[in-house]
Amino acid sequence: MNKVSPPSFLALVKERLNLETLDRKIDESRTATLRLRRWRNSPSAMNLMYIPAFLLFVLFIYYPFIKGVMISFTNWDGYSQMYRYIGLDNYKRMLSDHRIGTVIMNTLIYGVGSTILQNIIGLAYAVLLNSYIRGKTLIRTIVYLPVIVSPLIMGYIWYFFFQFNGGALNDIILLFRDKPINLLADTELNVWIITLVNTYQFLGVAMIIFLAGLQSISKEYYEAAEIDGASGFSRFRNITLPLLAPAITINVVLNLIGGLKLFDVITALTNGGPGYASASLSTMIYQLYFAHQDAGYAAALGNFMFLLISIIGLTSLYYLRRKEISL
Amino acid sequence: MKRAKALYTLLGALIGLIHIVPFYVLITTSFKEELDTSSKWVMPGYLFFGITLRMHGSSQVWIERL
Repeated sequence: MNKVSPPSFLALVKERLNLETLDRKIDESRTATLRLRRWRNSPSAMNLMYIPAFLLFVLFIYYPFIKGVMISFTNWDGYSQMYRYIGLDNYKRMLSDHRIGTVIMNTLIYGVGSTILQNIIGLAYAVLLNSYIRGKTLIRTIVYLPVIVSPLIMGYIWYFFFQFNGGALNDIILLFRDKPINLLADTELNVWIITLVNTYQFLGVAMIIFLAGLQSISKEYYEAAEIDGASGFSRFRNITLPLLAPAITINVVLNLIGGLKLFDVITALTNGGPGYASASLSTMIYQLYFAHQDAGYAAALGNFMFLLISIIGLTSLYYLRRKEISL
Repeated sequence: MKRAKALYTLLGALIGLIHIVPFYVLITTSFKEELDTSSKWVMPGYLFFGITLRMHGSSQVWIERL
């Protein structure tokens, strides 16, 4: 009779608890976790992560843009279901439109004028409010205050100021002459008034960016320059300006884009008038679409405006980035 | 140095004053009645809350107007 050896105690416990199966399962789950972790860091998983954002972008940016380009080739009135493709007629019409010259000029004045003013005044304010003066926090707050107001409301606030009948500015003018001046109807002046209002409103942003730039400049540079006998202007020219170059780039590009697509302030102050004397491309597009029901032409102008802003914005960005290196 | 600091403070105050002007005009205008044609620089004789209340949809003001 064969003697069967009794199972060892450990084998008995293992069998009882089914530990081998447990070990295998733990190994399997560990492998799966590792595989998941490896996949999560792989490029294919990264590609999946941006799908929600990409879908939103397609829905709200790409689709309307492509639709806008398509509409620009039609004679759609913006409301009816009926329209036909007319090829490049809307774009050809732009070339012969007598209003376009004035409107593009105004758009450029709003864009370039506001940019120049906001940068020069913003930098001056930042330098002043970065020095040791009393109440600088309060003044910074006051200068930044208009930024938090809607541009349309800001336009109406300034309308109280410039309006012909009982305007705050005309109250002062009447102290010196008999008749009030219709500043907003003056085709020479109103474009500059709108540029000033836009400058006033967004000066705070430029100032804050410059202030941040100024505060990041190490005091040691100024101390070294002072020891070397550099004058105040020389320190500003050779230390402050070069080190502020990135801030200048950001400000110029942001202000250019903001000024070129200016809409609210113009609508509140002059509504683009008299005629189209103070209209920008945005207000003209709005009027063509909603007042004249000329959606096809408005879309063509919209595409032109997009191209104009892209070209000016990218060119200035490229130029200023190169300038930053040379400074 | 002290004189320059005082000058800068004065300049800062002037900037603050210029920037607050539109808000001052807004406040004086918002507390005046619609038919009040007095200068926008002048504070109203009494504070008229009609416009502010109407903004909040107060029916009382509408009844008064009717």
